Parts: sequence; C-alpha cells; structure tokens
Amino acid sequence: MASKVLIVDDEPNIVTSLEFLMRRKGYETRVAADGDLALEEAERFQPDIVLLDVMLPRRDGFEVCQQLRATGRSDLKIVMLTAKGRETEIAKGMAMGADAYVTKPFSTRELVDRVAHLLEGGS
Amino acid sequence: MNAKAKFALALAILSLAVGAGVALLAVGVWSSVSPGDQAVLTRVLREQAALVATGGLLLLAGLGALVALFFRLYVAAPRRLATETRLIASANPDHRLEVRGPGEVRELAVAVNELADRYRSARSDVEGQIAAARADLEQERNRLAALMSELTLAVLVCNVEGRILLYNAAARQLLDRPVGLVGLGRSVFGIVDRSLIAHALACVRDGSAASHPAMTARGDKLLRVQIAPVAAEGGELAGFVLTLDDMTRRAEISERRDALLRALTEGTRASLASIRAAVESMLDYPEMEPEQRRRFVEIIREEATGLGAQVERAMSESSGYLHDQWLLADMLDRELLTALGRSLDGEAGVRASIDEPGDERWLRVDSFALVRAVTHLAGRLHAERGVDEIGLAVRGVGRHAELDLRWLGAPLDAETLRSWTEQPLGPGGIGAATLKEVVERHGGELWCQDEAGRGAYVRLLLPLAEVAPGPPPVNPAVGDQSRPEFYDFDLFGAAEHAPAWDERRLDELAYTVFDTETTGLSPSEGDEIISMGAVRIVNGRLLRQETFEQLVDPRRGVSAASQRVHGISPELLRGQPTIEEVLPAFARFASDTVLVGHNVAFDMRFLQLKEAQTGVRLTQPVLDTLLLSAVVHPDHEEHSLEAMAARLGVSVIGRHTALGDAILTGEIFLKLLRLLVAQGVVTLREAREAARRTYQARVSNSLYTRG
Repeated sequence: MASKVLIVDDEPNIVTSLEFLMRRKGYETRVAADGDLALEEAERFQPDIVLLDVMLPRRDGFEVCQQLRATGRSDLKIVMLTAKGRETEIAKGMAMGADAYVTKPFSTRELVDRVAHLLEGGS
Repeated sequence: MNAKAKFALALAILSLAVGAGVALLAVGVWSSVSPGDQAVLTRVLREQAALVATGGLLLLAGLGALVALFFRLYVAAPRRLATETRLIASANPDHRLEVRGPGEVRELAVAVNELADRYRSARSDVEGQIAAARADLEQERNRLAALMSELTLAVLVCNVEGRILLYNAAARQLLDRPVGLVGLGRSVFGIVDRSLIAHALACVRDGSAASHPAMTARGDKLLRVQIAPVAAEGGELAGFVLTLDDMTRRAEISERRDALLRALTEGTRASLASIRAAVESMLDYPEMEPEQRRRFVEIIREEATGLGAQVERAMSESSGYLHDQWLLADMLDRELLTALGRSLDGEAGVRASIDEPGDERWLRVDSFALVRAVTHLAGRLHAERGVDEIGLAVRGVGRHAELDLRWLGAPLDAETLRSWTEQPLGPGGIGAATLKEVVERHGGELWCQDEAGRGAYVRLLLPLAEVAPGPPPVNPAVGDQSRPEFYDFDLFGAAEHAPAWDERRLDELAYTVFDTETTGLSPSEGDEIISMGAVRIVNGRLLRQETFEQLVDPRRGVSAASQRVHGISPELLRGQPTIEEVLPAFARFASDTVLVGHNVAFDMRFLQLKEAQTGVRLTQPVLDTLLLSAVVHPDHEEHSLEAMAARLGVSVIGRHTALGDAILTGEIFLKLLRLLVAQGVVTLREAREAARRTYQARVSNSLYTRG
C-alpha cells in the first residue's frame, strides 16, 4: 500500500511542486491550507507523514505539530518546513516533536530523500 | 616682673615700712621723755646695742619669712594655676590642676577643674560631630564614585574653567587615547571642543531643557555628548557635567542594515531578471530545441540557488542587528532569576522558587521587558489556573538558554498560551507591548509542555551573550585605597588664575613623578631609554589610576649589567614603540605639572639628549627627591630610595620597574613635602633654592652618586 503524505502549506506554488514530487515517488497525497484544516485532514486521511509549514493562517505549524503529537498516531512522521530558519525556531520545532526541520529554499532531491528515509523508519 | 623681683620688692617695702614705724615710735618716745631719761635711754641703748641689733634683725627675718609664705600661697600658686590652665586650654585637655594650698586657692583650682571637665566634653562632642560629618561626606563621595564606576556611560564633571573634577572608568576607557587626556585637574577641552561646550551651555541657558545633546567625532569614534550645567549657590555657572556615549556601534549597525537592505533589493534584481528572461523565453518559444531549453532550465536553477545562498548569507549576518540590539544587554543568568523571582513575588502574587544555576551564563536580554512579560504570564497562570508557586530555572543549550517556569498542574494548550502572549502588558515598556513581541525581539521562542506527569512548564529560549564580558570594573570604593581617586571636588575651588610656577605653594601644585630604565648609564655614549613610568600627584594625592607606563624599543642592545637591575630582556622590547613616539605621549601626560624624580638629573640628561630627535622639550620645573631628602635630613648620608622609604615609613613594593619606582618616589615625595613645609619651605622657589644649596654642598663633598 502506498504511503500517505499530508502537505500543509498556504502557498499554492510550493504546494504544486511538493504534490508533484510526492506523487512521482508513488505516494498518496492530500493538501491542507491552514492549521485547522490540517488537523481535520490528519484525522480523516490518517497520513504516514506530514510536510508541515510553520507559518500558517489561524493555527501555526508548531501548534499543529504539538496537537498531532498529543492526539495522533505515535508512528506519524512530521517534517517541518520554514522560511525563517532561526536556531531558536528549530529548537522549538524539535521540542514540539518534529522529526525533521527543513529550511526554505531546499533542494527538492534532498527533501524527497529525507521523506523516503523517514518512511522507511529512519530518523 | 618676675616672681623673684616681686618678692624682693615686697620684702623691701615691708622692711622700709616696719623700719619707718619703729623710727616714728622711737622719735615719739624720745620727744615725750625728760632730758634725764633721754640720757638714761641713750646709755641703756648704747650698753645693749648688740641686743637691739639682734632684735631688729630677728624682726626683719620674721617679716621676710612671713612675706615668703604669703607669696608662696597667694602669688606663686595662682601663677602655677594660670600656667596649667593654659596647658589644658591649648595642648592637653586631660590635664587637671592639683588641689592644694590655702582655701581660696583650692577653691579656684576646683573651679578650674570643673570648667576643664566641661570644656573637654564639649570639645569631644564637637570633634565627634566633625568626625561623623566627615565620615558621612566620605561615604557619600565613595558611593558616588562607586556609582560612577558602574555606569557604562562615560561621565566627566568639570569646573567652570573646564578642569576635570571627576571622571569614571568608562570615561577613561572611551576617551583616554592618547593616554594622559583624562585626569583630575586636566583640561576637558583637550577632549571635547571648547566651542561645542560653550554652544551647548548657551542653549541650555536660553532654552528650557536641563541639558543639551551634541555629536562629536574623536578619532574613529562617533560620540554623543550630553552637556548639563552645574549651578553654584548664587545661580551662576560653577561647572558642567558631560556624559558621553559611544555611538560608533549604533552607527555601524544602521550602516550594515542599510547595506543588507541594498544587497537584498538591488542584488536580487539581477538574479530575478535572469530567471524571468529564461522563463519567458521558454514560454514564448515552446518549439525551441531541447538543448536550448535545457540551458534555460539550468540558468533558472543556478540563479535560484544563488538567491537562496544570498538570503542565507544575509540572515546569518543580520541576526545580530535585525533586533533593537541596544535594548539588549548582557546579564548573568543568576541575576535575571533573582529579578524575576522578586517580580513574581511582588507583582504577580506567585511564590517563586529559584533553581540556583550550576555555572554562570551571560544572557543577552532586555531585562526590564523580559521581567515584565514573564510576570504578566505568571499573573495569568495565577489568576486563571490558580497557580500559587512557580519554579524558575535557566539552563544553557548550545548558543541559547532555556528559561523555564514550572508549576504543578496541567499544561496550557497552545491556543490559551497564544492568546496570553498577545495580551497587552500595560503601559511602561519601550517598544514591546506583548509577551510575543518581547520574545520576538530577543530572537527567542516560547512554548508550553507537560513534564511527564510532574507538572508543566513554559519554556523561553533566549540568546546567550556571544562573548562572556570581561570581569566587571573594579569598584574603586573597595580597592586597596580607602578613598578612590577618580574625583576631587576640592578642585572646584582651586585657584583660578595660577601665579607663575615659582610663587605657587608646594601643596597646590600638580606633579608628574617619573622614572626611566635605560640600557646603561652613559647617554652620551649611546645608551637609550627602554622604559618610562610616571604617576600624577594632584592636590596632595598620588593618583594611582592615572599612570603612564611604556616600554621603548631602544634599537640597540641592553647591557647585561642593567638587565640584571630591571630584568627587561631585548626580546621584550622588540616591536615596542620608539622614543620618537613615546616621548611626545609622555610630554602630554606631564603637561602643566612639575616633574619629580629621584636623582632626576640622570633621567633629564637622557630626555635632553632626545630633544632634537623628538622635538619634545620639557620646560617645566623639576624637583629631585634625592636633593629634597638632603634638605630635610642633612645629617643622614644615605639618600637612596630604599633608605628614604625606610626612614619615612613607606613600604617598598615592585621596585625596578619604571612605574613601580615612580610610585615609590611619589609616596616618598609626598612625605618630604610635609617635612619641607614644617621647615618653612613653602613655595616652589624656596624648595628649588634649598635643593640648589644642598646640591652645591653635596657636589663639594663629592657625595653626589646615583641613588
């Protein structure tokens, strides 16, 4: 069965690329454009991995991450994406329970490899 | 008239009176008896002449003894009382009169003793009050000096002539380049332009502001000067206070921010242009050859990667100055915790318990805003979650510190915490109005988690100071000197128009006491100075904070013999400034002061030989402690520094460095000054003349040797 990827970002341009990349790898994808929708979609879709942007309308990525960790599946992988990339922010992301933290702009190949690695049970 | 003369006179008068009485009696008896009886009397007297004479002498002796007794009791005793009373009044208030002699004298002595008792207690009262007042004043001054030394702002207080009465360590650090500009009694106009100060004072006088700001440049530094007048009692100008702030870094920050902005706007345009051109070419010519298309795609990737790298670079460079850096200051974690604890207890109504940090860490924080924001958070916890006790702890992680607030109870959900962080903190802060803004300004983060069943915590990530600041400035009030030397308000009243050097009193002159170390003893044969040390004396105080110390590259070898004395090796001197650079700096340090040295002719010879080469001529008067010692102690033959120090009770430390010897010489010189004044040598002229006389005496005795 194909792995399921939930993409949470409010910028359609980057979503287009992410969706394309994930589908090409054979993953099933869904998209959520803000924090509240992300939590709903995670409940419905039960993804294996979430690509989660930090800067979101309503509920930010940290909150979503904390919420997912509090209620979601324990084997859910979370990759946080951010344009800020401050050291303190990364520390907070890791404290919130993210498995990886990727700063925009990123190399698409590296992101794809990272996702594959996490889905295979790596860290 | 002395007591003996008085006694003799009294005795003579009494004898004459008694003689006259006897004679009158005899004449009366003689005239009242008959001629026959007169003949009988004559005969009897003649026959008994020896008896009559003896009687007369006995009478005189009796009279003498009586007068002597009377004198002792009623004349000599009061005189003694008078002398001793004077002793009590002038020298020894504890002395008391001996109560003896006749009643009246005893009564007088008792009365004087009573008076002496009252006098003594009144006097000790007054002395106590004076001592207390002086101690108070001293304490005030020390407090002021301590306060000043803690200020990071440079402060200079000047009298109306522009002479510096007070400066702090920050002022010296900021302004004392070249060395010797900042010092007690020195003119501030060497540091800040006179017209700038005059202009600022005029602005203050005309306007309503209490002080006037101005900008000035000094070397590579940009300074903001704040000038405030000090009014005397009558309202006229007594002096002014300057505070100086180094704006260089701020100017630098804003310059770099500008540069960053330029790089991000102009710099990115070129890359964007390339990308856009490539993309539009591909869109407009879909039929282009695959090779051409591949090249365009390659261009887009290259430019985008470049843009990413550029942004990355800008981020890492700007992290230091994108925030309002000057509100952030370095603070010890322990101090931050203490401040937070106090505020939580007092403002939020929460008991704070502090985990003492194991090792100290310097945080870079706006402590006022941070304490206010965290107190707000604690207040919410108390009001809405009933939290009564909060544990505070700081831990360092990488380049950040984790500040934790822990409590027993459920953690806050993210929504609640977010709403609290966006609540206004209330009036009073600068810049940041919410907890969120405070955290952002620190470049920090904040979140809440639960602690595996042991309660919950809010964690604040805060930046650590990049470099641990050096040790805090030594508080001059607790140094080895009981009285710090950063100020001298007595200079407020210092003589305004100084008379010529020679007529000035020794105790009101400023001195530069100096010493040199040399490669050898013969300047005319090419020996050179290798080290100079100097210390200033102003208003009778040795200013240990105002010193000059410099090694000098002699551009020649150092003789083994002299190396044994001063221990300075040739390697140490390589790369040091040369005498052409050092001597002008020394001249500046010593300007407006009398030069003092031990066997100073030796040092002056070296300096004079450098006049042509360096263009520095020291024209001020010179005093020699060796010669002054000979003036004060003509009977001693030993006038070396050690011998004088031992004689005058000065302890000898750090000899044979130029500065160490200069300080020792300065201490000895101060003792010599007091002894000179006691000998009636008061003015500089008198001191120089006395020194010249002993010099001639010493030369003729061939005793003038290097001390």
